[in-house]
Amino acid sequence: MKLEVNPTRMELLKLKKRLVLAQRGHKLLKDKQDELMKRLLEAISEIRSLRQRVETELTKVNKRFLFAVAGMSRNAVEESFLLPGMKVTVEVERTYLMNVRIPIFKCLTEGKIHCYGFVDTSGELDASLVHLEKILKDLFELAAKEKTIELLADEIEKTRRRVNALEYVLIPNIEDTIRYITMKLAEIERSDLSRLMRVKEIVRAH
Amino acid sequence: MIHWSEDVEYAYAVGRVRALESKLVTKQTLDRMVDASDEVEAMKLLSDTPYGVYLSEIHSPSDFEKILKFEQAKILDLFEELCLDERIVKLFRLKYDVHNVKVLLKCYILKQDFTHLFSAFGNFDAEKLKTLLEEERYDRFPPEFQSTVTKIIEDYYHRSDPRIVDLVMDAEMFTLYLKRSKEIDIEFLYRLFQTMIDLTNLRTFFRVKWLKEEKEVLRSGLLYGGTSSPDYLIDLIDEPWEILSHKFFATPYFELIEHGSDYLHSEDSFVRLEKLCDDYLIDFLRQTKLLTFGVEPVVAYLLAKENELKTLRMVFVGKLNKIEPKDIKERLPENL
Repeated sequence: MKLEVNPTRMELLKLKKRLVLAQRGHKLLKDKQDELMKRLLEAISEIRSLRQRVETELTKVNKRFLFAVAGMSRNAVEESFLLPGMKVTVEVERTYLMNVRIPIFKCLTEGKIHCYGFVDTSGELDASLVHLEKILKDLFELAAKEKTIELLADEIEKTRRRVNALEYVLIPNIEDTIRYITMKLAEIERSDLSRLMRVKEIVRAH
Repeated sequence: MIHWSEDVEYAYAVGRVRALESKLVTKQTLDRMVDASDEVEAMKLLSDTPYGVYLSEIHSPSDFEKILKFEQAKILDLFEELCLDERIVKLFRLKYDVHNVKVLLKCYILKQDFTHLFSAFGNFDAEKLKTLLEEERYDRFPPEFQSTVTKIIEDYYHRSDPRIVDLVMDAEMFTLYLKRSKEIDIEFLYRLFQTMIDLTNLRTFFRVKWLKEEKEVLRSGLLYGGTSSPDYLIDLIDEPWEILSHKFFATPYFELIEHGSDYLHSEDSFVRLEKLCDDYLIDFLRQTKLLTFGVEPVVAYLLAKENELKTLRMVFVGKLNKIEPKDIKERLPENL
């Protein structure tokens, strides 16, 4: 579909410049898309083992925790955890990957995770909390990586839309318009020429 | 050998307890519940037990805590009815008071309201205690908790250790158990609490050792008044795992420690140790099986019932969370 422009030489020059720019942009975006895709696939393969590890550990933690608290009444469980001993702070930093702002979560812990007495609680509760503390770092790393993947996927989607818009809409439209203007200008030139020839004939006849 | 009280005034109570003991949930019923296809099926199996009367009052198996609460209230009422000495009833309600005071102190420290966690089974009105604590009228507190409460508040503001509330309250509870059972002059009760202290100390010892915590943590967590000195356990904390059980060779806990500590060291799991501790206490209570008179069978029945509630909670938690039957069975006591 041609663009709504006047078929002049000026417009033709402008359009030719736009076409060169669009083709350069298309190539750059295509390269960016390929690189983003490569990085995404790398991140996915990295995260797979991490997620598997975290899930396995979390299942163990949950199972141990469930049985540990099953030996206590619900109120006693809540009472045991009323005064927490550990403070977890999450610092969020940003870095850039292919111009995508990705987060880095830093988990800072302070104090001890065990905050209850020994009489009404069980060793399994201690063990479940120890495992939870161990996977806390991995859990934050997993969260940061999953967010990175999400952001990369969004960026790929956006870039693909831009590449497609350039490849299938803008560049063909500019090319159509250039072709149209070129034909139009050639036709104007031909019509001028034939008009001149006719005028010359009339002048010669007199 | 324990010197039994053999109080003939308990003849009716013991007779009634013997009749009720036959209605305790059996190991077979528990195994069938564990093997049931889901939690609904497991719940249905309770219909033939004394818990059957509560089934119509709950909407789904996830409300199982309600059933356990009803039964706990019922058993405490029965204990109060059968026990002729009010001091013994108060003694067995003491742990609920301790729980309420712990909640109160934590509310006070956090300046938040957690009154929904209060237990209604204690000797004292928790709401009244809350008002007294808020108004800082410690002198109006029950005498047994007066000094402990002020000590905990002072210590917490000096050390900010969240464990302090539980550790000091638990130590105070067992001190009171021993003191009162001595006053009541029933050897079984004294020996029962001593056994509880020993088993708690052993569990604490292995928990601290497994966690590789400092000696100070163990020192603050151990209870006094048991058959063995806490200092002996403190000295053993740095010993290698392999020789630990031999250090208890001369104690009645040797077998329990031998199997429990090996399993803990090799599998990183407290399951066996805790199960063996529970079994040891149940075996201790079994000594009352042949008695015809005295308060001992009534106390043993109360504790057996509390153990049954704990076991049922474990089964329901396991079923509701779709845990493999073999994993649930591993945690259930051998004897009920």
